[in-house]
Amino acid sequence: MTKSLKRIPAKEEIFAEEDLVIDVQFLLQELLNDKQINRAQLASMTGLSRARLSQLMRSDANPTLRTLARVFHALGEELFVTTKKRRDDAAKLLKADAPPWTSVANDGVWEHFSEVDTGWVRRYAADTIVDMDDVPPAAGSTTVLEAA
Amino acid sequence: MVREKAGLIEIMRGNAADVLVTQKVKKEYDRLIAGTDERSLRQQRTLSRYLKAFCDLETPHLNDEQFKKEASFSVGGGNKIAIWAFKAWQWRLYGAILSLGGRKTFIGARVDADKKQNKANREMMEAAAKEIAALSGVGRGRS
Repeated sequence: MTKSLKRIPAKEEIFAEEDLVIDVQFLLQELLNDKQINRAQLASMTGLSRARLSQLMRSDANPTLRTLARVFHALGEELFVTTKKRRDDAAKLLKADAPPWTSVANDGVWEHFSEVDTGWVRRYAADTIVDMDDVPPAAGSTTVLEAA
Repeated sequence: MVREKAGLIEIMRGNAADVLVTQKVKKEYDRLIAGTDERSLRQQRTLSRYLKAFCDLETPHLNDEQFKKEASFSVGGGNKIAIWAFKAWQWRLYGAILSLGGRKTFIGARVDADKKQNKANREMMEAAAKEIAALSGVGRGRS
């Protein structure tokens, strides 16, 4: 008779498990902070006991997907599931599709960009420019000036 | 500065805060980091993520089950030191949050490496408070 051996997970596998649990817990706590919702309120919103919510927040937690969906739904949020690779690939595609912009002037206060496809010119406060390719400017920092 | 005087060792530095530990705690920490069994690996990763969140964010998204103010202890001169605990599985790091040189700093002074119950170890926390008071001068009118 063969004795069954317990499979020992690799270090990377253990780290991946811990990271996912912690990412979900950090996100949940961030939402609770942002929405100023306490545990008692969350318990009432989800129908889960405070003890169960506490268990969900511990390092040894192993919540079911259904429980997570229930908690995030109660907060008016929806978990969006993808993999890091798929997310990065999608971001690359978006970047490739973005119309090219060319910096045409910078007077120290405003930097003017021209969109090659449309000929529209936009200005951004020069000190808010980070990297046009990677970081969109904050809302309100852009003004459409004129059509070329 | 306290860290130079007391031989505190920095184990993490971030945009918002630092984590320093006593030499005794550093030995326990090194023992944890050197572990290759499943439990040690889970504890290592969890502790490292919690410490990084504490160091990198002004308002870390750590919940009470991960990082909690457990109790306050009188340390003389009408002063109290609040003891906080990082809780990574059964591994606990007890310490206090102080401002050192204008930097938010967690000083870890005690480790419970094999916590049997979830309840915080009061004796260990009190010892941590006393040691941190002695290192920092809190309670003796120094800062």
